[in-house]
Amino acid sequence: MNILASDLTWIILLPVIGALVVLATPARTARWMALLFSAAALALSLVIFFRILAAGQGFGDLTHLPDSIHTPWIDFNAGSIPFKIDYFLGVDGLSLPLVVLNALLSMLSVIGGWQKIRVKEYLGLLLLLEAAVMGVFLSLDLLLFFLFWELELAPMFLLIGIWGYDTMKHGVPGRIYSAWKFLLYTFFGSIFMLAGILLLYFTNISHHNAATASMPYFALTEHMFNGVVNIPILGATAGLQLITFLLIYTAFAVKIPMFPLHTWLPDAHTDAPTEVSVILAGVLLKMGAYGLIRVCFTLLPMGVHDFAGPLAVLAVINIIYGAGICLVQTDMKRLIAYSSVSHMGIILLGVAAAASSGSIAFRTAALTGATIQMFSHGIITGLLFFCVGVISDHAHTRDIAVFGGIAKKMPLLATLFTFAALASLGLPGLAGFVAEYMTFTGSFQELNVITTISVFTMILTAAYLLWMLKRVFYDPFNAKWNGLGDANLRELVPLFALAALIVLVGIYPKPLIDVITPSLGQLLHTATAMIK
Amino acid sequence: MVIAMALYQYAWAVLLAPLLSFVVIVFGTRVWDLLSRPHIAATTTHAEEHAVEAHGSEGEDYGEHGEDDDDDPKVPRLSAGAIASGYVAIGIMALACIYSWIMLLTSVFNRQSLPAGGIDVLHYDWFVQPGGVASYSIIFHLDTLALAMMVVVTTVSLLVYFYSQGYMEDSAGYARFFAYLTLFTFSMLVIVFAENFLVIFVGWELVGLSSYLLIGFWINKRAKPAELRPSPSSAALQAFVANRVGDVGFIIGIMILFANTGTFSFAQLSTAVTHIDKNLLTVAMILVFCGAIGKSAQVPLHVWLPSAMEGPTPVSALIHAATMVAAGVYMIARTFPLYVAAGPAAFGTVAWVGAITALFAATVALVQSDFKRVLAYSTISQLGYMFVGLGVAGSEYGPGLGMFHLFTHAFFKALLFLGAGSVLHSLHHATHREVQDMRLMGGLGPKMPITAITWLIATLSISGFPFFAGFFSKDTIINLTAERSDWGLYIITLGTAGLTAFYMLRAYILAFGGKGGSFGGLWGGPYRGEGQPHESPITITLPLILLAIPSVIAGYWFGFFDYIQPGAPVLNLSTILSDAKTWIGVVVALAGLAVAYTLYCRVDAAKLHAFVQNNALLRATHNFLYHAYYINELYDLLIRYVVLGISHIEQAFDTYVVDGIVNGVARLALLLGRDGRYVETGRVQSYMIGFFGGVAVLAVLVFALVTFGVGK
Amino acid sequence: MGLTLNHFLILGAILFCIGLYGAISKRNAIAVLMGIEIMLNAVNVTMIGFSFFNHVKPYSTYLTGQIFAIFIITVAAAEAAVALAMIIAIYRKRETVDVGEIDIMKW
Repeated sequence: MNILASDLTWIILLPVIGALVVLATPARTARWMALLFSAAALALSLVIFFRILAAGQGFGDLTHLPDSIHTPWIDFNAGSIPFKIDYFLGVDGLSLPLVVLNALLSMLSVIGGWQKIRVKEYLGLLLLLEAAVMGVFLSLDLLLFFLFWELELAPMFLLIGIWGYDTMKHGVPGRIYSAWKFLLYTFFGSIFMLAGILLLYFTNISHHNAATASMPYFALTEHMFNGVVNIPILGATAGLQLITFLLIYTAFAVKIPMFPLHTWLPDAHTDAPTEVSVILAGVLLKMGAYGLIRVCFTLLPMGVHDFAGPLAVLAVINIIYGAGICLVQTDMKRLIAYSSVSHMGIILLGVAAAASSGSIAFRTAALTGATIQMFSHGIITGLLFFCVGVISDHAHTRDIAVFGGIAKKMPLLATLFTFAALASLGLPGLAGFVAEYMTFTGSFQELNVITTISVFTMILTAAYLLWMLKRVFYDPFNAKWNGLGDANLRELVPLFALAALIVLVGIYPKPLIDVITPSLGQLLHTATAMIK
Repeated sequence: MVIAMALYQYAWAVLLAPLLSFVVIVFGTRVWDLLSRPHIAATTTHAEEHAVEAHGSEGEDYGEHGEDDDDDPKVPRLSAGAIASGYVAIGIMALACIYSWIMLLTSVFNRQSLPAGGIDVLHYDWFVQPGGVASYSIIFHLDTLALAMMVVVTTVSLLVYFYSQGYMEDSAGYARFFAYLTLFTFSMLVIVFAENFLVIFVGWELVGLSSYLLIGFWINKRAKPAELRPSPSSAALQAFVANRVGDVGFIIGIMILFANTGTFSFAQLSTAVTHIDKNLLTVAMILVFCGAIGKSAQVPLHVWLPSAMEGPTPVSALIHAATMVAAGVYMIARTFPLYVAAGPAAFGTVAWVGAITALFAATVALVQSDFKRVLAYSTISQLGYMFVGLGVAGSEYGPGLGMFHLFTHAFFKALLFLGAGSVLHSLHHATHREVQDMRLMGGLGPKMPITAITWLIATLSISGFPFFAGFFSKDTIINLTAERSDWGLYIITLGTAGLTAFYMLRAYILAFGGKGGSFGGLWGGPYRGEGQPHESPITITLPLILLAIPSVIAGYWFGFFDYIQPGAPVLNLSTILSDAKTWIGVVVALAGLAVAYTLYCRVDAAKLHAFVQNNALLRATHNFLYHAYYINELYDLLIRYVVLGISHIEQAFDTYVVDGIVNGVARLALLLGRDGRYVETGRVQSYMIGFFGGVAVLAVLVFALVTFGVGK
Repeated sequence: MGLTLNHFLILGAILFCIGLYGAISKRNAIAVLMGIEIMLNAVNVTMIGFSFFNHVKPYSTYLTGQIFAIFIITVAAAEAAVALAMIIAIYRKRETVDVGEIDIMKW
């Protein structure tokens, strides 16, 4: 099978080629090249979407992929031990929305980063980042998945480290500090994930005598292993799935980020340039959540089930603790970063509820809500970061306290920022509401105390976002900002694009839900079969 | 019959009409409005920027340089786009209003034309699961309850839109104002049409949004601490957050119901709740009521409503008096069967919260000097009555009792607010600044006769003066508390009725009359302010006149209870009049009116003021009431020190513990490297010692293992 | 009672310890080098001893230990030449052969 014949390969390759072209052409044309290639990737992802839609067979699930390419890549035996990694890409209802989201946000980021210094390198790295993230969402071989997972770190590290802000932190420029923190933290998690994947791989060889790291293979009930292992030092036994889950999940927990592994996020966000923050919050965090659902929940339902209780507790800590901290932030970006911690907690809550052992209908609702939250948080937080970016570009500060009444000078931006904040606080008619409402109402049956505590985030979210808006945009005008101009047309393009999408998902989420439902259905079906 | 069915089936047109106006204004006429203004963009030179500096909000006005330019930005002349926005909103709303009246009248005179359970008018799904369990659908539904409410919403909306043309005549944000208003009407209709908890929650939050936007309409306006007035943006924030507090209870209640029945639908719930544990259901319904507490500004979440008076007055009339705040009442009426199924504690909570609120707000209203603030507290108080009405009615009367008061109250309270707006508007023209303090009014009766007369009608109506609308709706509630032998409630509601009559007439006299006027001081008298106020234009007075009509006659819809819930008792004028309790109520109301008349028409205002100030107890009471029991201040302290305190502690925990560990690990690695490198001495012999020493240790170890055999 | 493997081994061990002591304790680089040579030769003695007393067929016919010893002698010679050259180079540069002072590769 020719790998270049698959459009999935091209989704990854287009940004890579784009990055090379951008680096090779003069800056004047490089921007347009970057836009062209990112737009091409978006167009291609939409083509795939509509082709699957038109085929009318639904968006499938892990075991019924509507579009995939599977070909051996590394295959050799060392002694009697087979080492086998496949080039296995595929999309289904769970990954396709995220692929489209990644393509969209990357394209908007290219537009946002139009005026950066050293623009060629900047846009080139953004495109490489896009390619790596695409790889994460598309790869269905665990080791390939791991490869792309690590690959994404390199461009991100450079983007934060070179184009970040210079505010001093712990004695070094913030961009350096945060870039390292991001890199090391993620690596820390990745080690465990690799160990987990290898455990899965080798256990499978000894149990089923089959060498494969393919996700669809492990997603079949008959291939899931169910044994318990002794932990010699502790003298305890634990489910093999639980141990594998904990190992693999560590990487995702860092990425999501889950309390107490979240502190890299506020630093990375405050020091990253606007577009990188957008990608970081919009797509990179989703890699963690996607991994949790796709890898952990699909392949190791028992493990997630055993861990559901602690996961729910951690989720509520994420939700309430993150929101509480937001109230006292002085930096707009830091505030939004912590709000991401809070909102990602809702995904954890949904997954925890779905992994419990209650009525399947409610669990489906909770998991569907969590999955929509992945998508809607991506577009909403992307919009918020774009808005902050515009302010920070115009006013050269993001300190909430120095502003006041600037809606007078930036009416359009104030409108869009207010819109984004409202979306983020879960206003009906906008994307965030659908996700939060479904997650909360779905989770309540299983986790009533936890969910009851969680919904108090509604108050906190409204308070910190609207309070920030009040201090920045409303109230008496601070004459210091007389020279401030409104957002220009180029800055408005990403804002309006995302705003439109937020309204669309908020009012009529059914198309999105229809895309993801089959995958989740299969997933929960397997999970229910496992969890007796 | 088919025609009637089609008539109801197309009711979604009423729902979507304001949304259409909203879209047209936001993407059409408002853009037109903005584009037709001269450009003062960022491209201006530095000198020009300074010229622009003093101009008002959104960089969009370029009118006179008043001192409150930031407070209320003006334009010299409305652009065509702005005017068109108004016309779009009014035109579409007029059609919707006529349509809703046709539907109402059809269903009143032909009760069979609308099926008893109502009909679904619009339906689409978000997420449907097998068997419909835990499914999420958007369903809009029409029944008599919805129709009664819809008529209130569309009628008051239409009149307020019309009125706003005059009130906002030179506002820079004219088009924006109409956009927000239409958004509000749409949101309110979403609540009205809601068939399940999902939809009602959507509408619930959306009206909260419109309220937020409209309270904060004057985005750069300053706070006025001397008058206890917050800035509009603070008021907006407070309103939204206070509502959210109630909404948390609301959604928890919804979740309890949903988790136990798997449905949001009111119709399905009312049969399904019989399977729920009764205590749990009671808890759930009390939690659902929390939402109503927030939205309808009941104690203890009432603080936002007086602050919300910082919004433009038409907004106060439409949202914070007639419709949105009544959404809580409507919601309880909508979920009435669930409350009936729940334990008596559920209705008891509703009634008692309502009664306490009614009394509390009435006492506070006694001493307020801000014209709009009196009305705000009066609204809170009247909403309390509605909850008492719902709480005591039981399944026999159904939700009609509370809804009836809502229905009549909407008209006379809107009239009161619009009349107040007319006064403020006129005073603004006369004094060129914002005057809301009644101590700077007085004797306005002859100067603005239409406003004064209509205001008096509304005052009498709200006071329960016989044969006005408020008389029927309020007295029915008070009498029913007595019939139910709920003497606590009876005394509270009866006493509050007296207080209501007192403070309403007091407000009327302070504004329009005064000692020295004709009719014993009720008409005219000394004017204490500056300038020459005169009657407002027709755009403002016409809605007043139109609202004065239902303020009198709305009470004569005696079949209202039956309309809302078939089989409920029908009111009867002779029964009402022959009931002794009715006349007790009338006497109490008249007593209140009489006291107000004596104190404010017969006594000099300065003398009264001096008397209160010289008596320590009265002064303390006055201060206590004037600050509304210091509840707002208490909440301020609570938020500032407790909530933000916890946040600060969390922040410190995050920085020093969670992140401290992360940075600590990094620092430990650095430390190990920095200090550990001294092992590398560079001297061959020390390496040699290490190497052979290591070999020796290993050798001993191997020897020991082999000899003593761990493996054996 | 004649020459046994133990004799070889004890001799090797003693030689090795002497060499090790010299290599570690001497400050003169030449002396250290001599200590190392002694250690190498101690190993040679052990190798030859093992080779000589090995009677297990077919390994006893291979003479591996003795060949190994010859290799070690060769390597030791080469090593001594290189080491002496280095010591001379260092001496020229730093005017000392005290190994305690030759620590340019420290941290």
